[in-house]
Amino acid sequence: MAISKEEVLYIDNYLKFLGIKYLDVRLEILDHLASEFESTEKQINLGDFLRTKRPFVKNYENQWQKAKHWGHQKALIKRILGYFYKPNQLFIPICIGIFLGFNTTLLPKSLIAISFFISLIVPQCIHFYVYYKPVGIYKNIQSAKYILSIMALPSIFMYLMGIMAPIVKESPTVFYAYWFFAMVFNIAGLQEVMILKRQIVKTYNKLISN
Amino acid sequence: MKKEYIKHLCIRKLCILGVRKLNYLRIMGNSKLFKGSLNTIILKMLEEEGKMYGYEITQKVKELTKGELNITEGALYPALHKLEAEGLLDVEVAKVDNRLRKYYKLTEQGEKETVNRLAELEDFIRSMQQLVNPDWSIQ
Repeated sequence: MAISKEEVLYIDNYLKFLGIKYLDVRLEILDHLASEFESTEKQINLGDFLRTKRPFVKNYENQWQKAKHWGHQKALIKRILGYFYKPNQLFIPICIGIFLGFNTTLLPKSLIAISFFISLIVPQCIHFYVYYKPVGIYKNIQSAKYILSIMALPSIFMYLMGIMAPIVKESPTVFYAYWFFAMVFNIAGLQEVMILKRQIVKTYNKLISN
Repeated sequence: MKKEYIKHLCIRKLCILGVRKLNYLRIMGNSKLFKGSLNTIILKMLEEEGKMYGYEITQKVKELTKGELNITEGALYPALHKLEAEGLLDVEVAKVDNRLRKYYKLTEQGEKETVNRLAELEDFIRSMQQLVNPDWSIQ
């Protein structure tokens, strides 16, 4: 028996009541509950049915976050490793190496420090811009939150600078190695962010404009 | 007479409970065995059907295994989301009846991964059969 528009609205309100705020999360739970309710052969009240599904709804968002978070972190690590063994991606570490070489040979020490900070700050600024544009994306879509979590690991290089400063000042080799890996992580992070953003816009374009 | 009747009722009740317990254990045991293969099962379903939504996957698996394997929503969705985040599944949202539905389908990478995982599973089954019952093993 097909579910009516009013019943769909009832499920939607129930999910809102349980704190399921984001549209991309709500639409899947709603469809699952509606499909299961439609296929039940017994005559059952929708409210009673929804009460039996409360643990599933409550756990759904947590499980979603856990699965997605680790999935994206795994993808980021895979991408970073890919830079060093995939022939078509080897040009990225090579380009970073050339950039660092250019900095060492051509720039004075004061400009090297500025160049270092710019190379770490710019990717962070870009990912914030990607996250907040368009507005609907972070307001309605839970998946967009992972744009921020993907860049959490690369941003560590910026935050660790305070601790690393004494070591880095003493040894230029450590400094350039630190800079190299910071750039590798940031570029890989940005690539993952762009892929995720493209996917979100393609999949949820109807929801973003809501 | 009354005593015997009560005794008979008690035995009957115990038998029913016993059968229920055995069934429960059988299903639980199977679930544990199936759990490690859940991702492969999902990938295989999607390879065969093209695109599917969550509830459809649970029903299809139930139908194919004649009710032996019941994938709960609590196990299915985390697996689907993990596969999606790993880039093995692509998502499509479509309007069906009076609501939106999320369909999952394999990406190019997902298609390659399905072939690998099925081969791994086949090897595992072959090894298990050789261990458990060498006479029945697949040649």
